[in-house]
Amino acid sequence: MTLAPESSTVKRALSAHAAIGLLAGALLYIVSLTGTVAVFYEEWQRIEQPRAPEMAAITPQAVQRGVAAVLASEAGKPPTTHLYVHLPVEALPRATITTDSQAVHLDANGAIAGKEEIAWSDFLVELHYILNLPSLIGLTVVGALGVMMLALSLSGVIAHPRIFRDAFRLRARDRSGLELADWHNRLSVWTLPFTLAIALTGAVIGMASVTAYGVAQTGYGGDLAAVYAPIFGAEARPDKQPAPVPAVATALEHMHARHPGLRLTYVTLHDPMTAGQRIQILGTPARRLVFGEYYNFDGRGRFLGTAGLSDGAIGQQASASVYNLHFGNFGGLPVKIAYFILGLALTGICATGTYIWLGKRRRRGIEEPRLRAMWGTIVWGSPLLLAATFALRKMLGNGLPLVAIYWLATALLLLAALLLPRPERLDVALRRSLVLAIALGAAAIAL
Amino acid sequence: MGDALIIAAGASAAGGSAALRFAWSLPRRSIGWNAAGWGLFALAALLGWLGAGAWGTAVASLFGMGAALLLLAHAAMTTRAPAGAKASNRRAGALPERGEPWRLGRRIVTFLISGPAAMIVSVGLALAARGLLVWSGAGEANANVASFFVMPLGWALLAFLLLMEVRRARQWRLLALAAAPGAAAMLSGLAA
Repeated sequence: MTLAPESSTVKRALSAHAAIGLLAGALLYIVSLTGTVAVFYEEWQRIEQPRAPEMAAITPQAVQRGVAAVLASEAGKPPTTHLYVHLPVEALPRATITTDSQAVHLDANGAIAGKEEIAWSDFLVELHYILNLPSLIGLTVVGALGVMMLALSLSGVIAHPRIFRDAFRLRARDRSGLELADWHNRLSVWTLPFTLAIALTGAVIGMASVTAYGVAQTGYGGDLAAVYAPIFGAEARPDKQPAPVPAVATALEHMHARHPGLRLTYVTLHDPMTAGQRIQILGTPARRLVFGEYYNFDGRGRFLGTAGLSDGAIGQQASASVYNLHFGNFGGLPVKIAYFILGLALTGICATGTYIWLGKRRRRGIEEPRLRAMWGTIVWGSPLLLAATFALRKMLGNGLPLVAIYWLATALLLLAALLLPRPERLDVALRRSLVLAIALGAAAIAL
Repeated sequence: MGDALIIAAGASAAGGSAALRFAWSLPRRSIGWNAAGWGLFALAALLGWLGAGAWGTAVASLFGMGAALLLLAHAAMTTRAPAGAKASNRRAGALPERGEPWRLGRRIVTFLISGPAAMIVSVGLALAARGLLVWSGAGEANANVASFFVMPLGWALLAFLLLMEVRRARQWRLLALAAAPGAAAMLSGLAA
């Protein structure tokens, strides 16, 4: 008896694998590449704006002063609905306040120290998260790519009956096409747990809006917030009557007294300076996949309760674990490095997949230099443009239209691959330019 | 104790990769070595879970994958170029060969069936799963979160199965079958 699938099944699985790969390949590659680079989102922020004030910790009183100063600076403007205080942590030892209209760093005393200027880091994350599309559409498209990645993993395993048996066979020195297939198949097998985790969590995050819409329509009379309330906790009832600055220091002191070892990462103010305002503190327990637990307080800093993300229903804990498992920020720098390496492998799998398909067609006598050049443009042009936009941002400032630069340059490079008389030369030019852009970026960091 | 279990889990996962490396290098299939490799992976998952729950298992899996990638790097550096071996040119059928018709309409319908249609059907599956969990008393949070997981898993599986079907009629039949739980949940009020 054998567990190997029949040859017709293998053939159809290969066909399904190729169809999905070709349809989603370019976007999957971009999402994998940007996800890999964005593993170091916090580190990129420090590199991008190296002179922002840093501190190991900040006192509750300093946070209070910072919140009051930022809210005072927005007097006369439309009131912010939320205010977020990023508290200093090991990977990003900075205190930063973000409102609906601005983001500023605080110094250790809570005084406003200047604007947050991390346009490239944010561009990178948005490219990964939503492909720079409008939020809901982008998130759904990227979620669908996660679904495609799951389907590719399944079809890839079934299309290659010897994929496990040959799992350590890597003929890297071959130049006939075997080496590409070996890299693709070997990396696919050994990163399979990572790929499945990344794909499923990405798909869950991305497709949640679509599913939640369906659940809201059928179960909650169209109230989308009600779908999430049992999981993350409900928003307080709004009361727009004016109120003083919320007692953030009192809430933080409560946390320090009751949970002395807990790593506090964020303070969120809901409807600040209104009678309905709430303070929410995010505490991240050690050695857990959950991104944290929400500790809720009223505007006077009186403790109301927790959301239950760390010790509530299993669904709450699973939902709160999805993010860290996807982004690789559950074990400090070692896990980030592991995610970076595995992410590179996944990016390589995406790149080699289409090259293998093009190679097979070439061996059957179908030459497609323009198609090959276009794929080369995606494979080498995407990292080139990431490095180039980073170098430009460092040299020319935070206000550059990075989204427009990236996508226009991508379109121009694809056009060049389509129109150049010798498109195969583009590949070499892109590789050389990539090296140059990385060197420029490194030089810009050093300066 | 937690630290010791995590270290043991990491070692077990790395040992699993090494054992499978050895098992798959043998000229004949070895049930013992295969079992040892997969058994060490299972043990790593268990020890990681006992040490620090899901976090421990996730960390242990990184050790297993890391060890396997090191073994692969070694294979990449030491394997000689094969003599006489030829790369595959088996046809995937994703695009037409030279001179073959594009059958664009058929391709678009296949995309619509396995893409948007399968997505909508998967939302139905998610609603049915949620309804069933609420009905069985699993709790609102568990039921809603389950629907978030069922939808993409259902879509991925459905898209794969649809693309495995050669005949259009069978694709429609499969899609209808997968749509039944969602439709039943909505008609019966289970999804409410």
